[in-house]
Amino acid sequence: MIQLDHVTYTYPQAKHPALSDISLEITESSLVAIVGPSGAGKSSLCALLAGFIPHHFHGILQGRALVHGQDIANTPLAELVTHVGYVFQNPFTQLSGAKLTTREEIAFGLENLGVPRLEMAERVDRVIELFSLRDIANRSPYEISGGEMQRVALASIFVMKPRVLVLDEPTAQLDPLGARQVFEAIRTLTNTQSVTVIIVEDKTEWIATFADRVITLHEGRVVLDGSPDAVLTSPLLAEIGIRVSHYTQAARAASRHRLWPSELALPTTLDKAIDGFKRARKKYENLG
Amino acid sequence: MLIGFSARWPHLPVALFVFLILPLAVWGQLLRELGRTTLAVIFPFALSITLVQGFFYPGATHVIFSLGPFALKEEGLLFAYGTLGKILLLAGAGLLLLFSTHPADLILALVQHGFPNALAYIVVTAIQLLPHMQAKAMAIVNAQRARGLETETNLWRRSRALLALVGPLVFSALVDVHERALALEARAFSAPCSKTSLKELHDTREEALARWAIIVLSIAFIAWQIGGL
Repeated sequence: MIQLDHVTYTYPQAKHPALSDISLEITESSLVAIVGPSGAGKSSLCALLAGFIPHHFHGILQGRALVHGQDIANTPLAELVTHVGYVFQNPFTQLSGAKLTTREEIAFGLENLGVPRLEMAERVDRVIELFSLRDIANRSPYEISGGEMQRVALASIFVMKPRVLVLDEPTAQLDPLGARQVFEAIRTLTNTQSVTVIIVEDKTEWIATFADRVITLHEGRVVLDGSPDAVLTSPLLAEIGIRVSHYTQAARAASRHRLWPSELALPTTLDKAIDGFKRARKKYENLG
Repeated sequence: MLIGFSARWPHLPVALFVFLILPLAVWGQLLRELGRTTLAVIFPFALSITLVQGFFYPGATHVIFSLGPFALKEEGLLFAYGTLGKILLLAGAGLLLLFSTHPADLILALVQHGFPNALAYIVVTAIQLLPHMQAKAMAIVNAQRARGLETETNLWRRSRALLALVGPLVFSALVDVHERALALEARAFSAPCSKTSLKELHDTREEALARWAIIVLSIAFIAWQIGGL
């Protein structure tokens, strides 16, 4: 589905590359989370996958990046957007600014692709149902909450039927309720649609619950790549400045005092932490 | 407007405003909105044109009354009346269009009749996003005030404060524009195909006939005016 082969990219006039010798493969219908400290190259990787690099951001791109077997560098952006959808951090700037209702806003991409009106209406209505946007379909996209706005942005991209969705910190500017709404929408997508989701996110508990794979970037390089449990409990995360979940931190501290069962891996979610501490308590009760 | 502007009869623009624009505003339930805004637009013009033309119209001889060295003259008032009538018609017709037709619908209609899509987008977003840009500017003003910037003091300090306001406003606007450009690309804005539209504009036969009638009438009236010279 996605194949990066020794990709290095340097922005114009930059001294150091934003991405350095990145090689990875992402399979179909998986949810891949990308984590990393600020300036690690997360957004650059997303921009590359969406084709903004090198079509919008000119610079020096080395190596080969393929999406669906098509070389990103040689495929026109207008064609790439039908394969790869991109959702930005700021829900406000993603609105076209030219539409009166949320329903029309969702249709904007299809209008640009010249989709016939009847087919467009069907696709828009289907996406409205999928993302539970029925209540706000006829409201102005500027009169809805941040969480709803981001769901509209997600729906506006998904309606174009991309096989890959790249989400660059989609909840960064949202309150907890808005973030939850967006996460639920992404979960609906991955559960019901065969779409590959690549998400930049720092909410590690959510990543641990829903991601199939976590890639950690640091200074433009892949430093960790594996299952959420393996990556999110790695001591390297704290070293490079990535927030580790409170559950992992608590269990690690308990482990130092031999209060965490040695046979158990460190937890990444609340459920796993509760389970571990229950087992630890049982063990000490039996000892006592 | 063409008829009003090309007419030699000075009362025609006012007559068109009273007997065409106002009834249309009543029909569209926009009378109060239109009346209030038209008055607000017209009043400064009315005041300045009446005073300037009334007192200083070149070559005027019929004095209505004198005030010291100044004399209000009939020719000047007539000229001011004619000019104001045209401004009234222009403002009334423009505002009626603005209040009765949403810019997005207007642009959609224009695009469907061959207006370039990118240009239409620029026009409609400029209108739609203006209130949001104003809100953003206000947020920046408030943020700077919270950090001790004085924006309601003497002119010198206010002009210095302007620099601290313009910088963040321009910078954030540029960032927004850049991200919006990318977001548009992500939604196939520059796809090389003919665009379609979810929204269907209902252009009735009566509306089309009315449009043609307006065009034919305007041309005929202008031809009559030119021929009658």
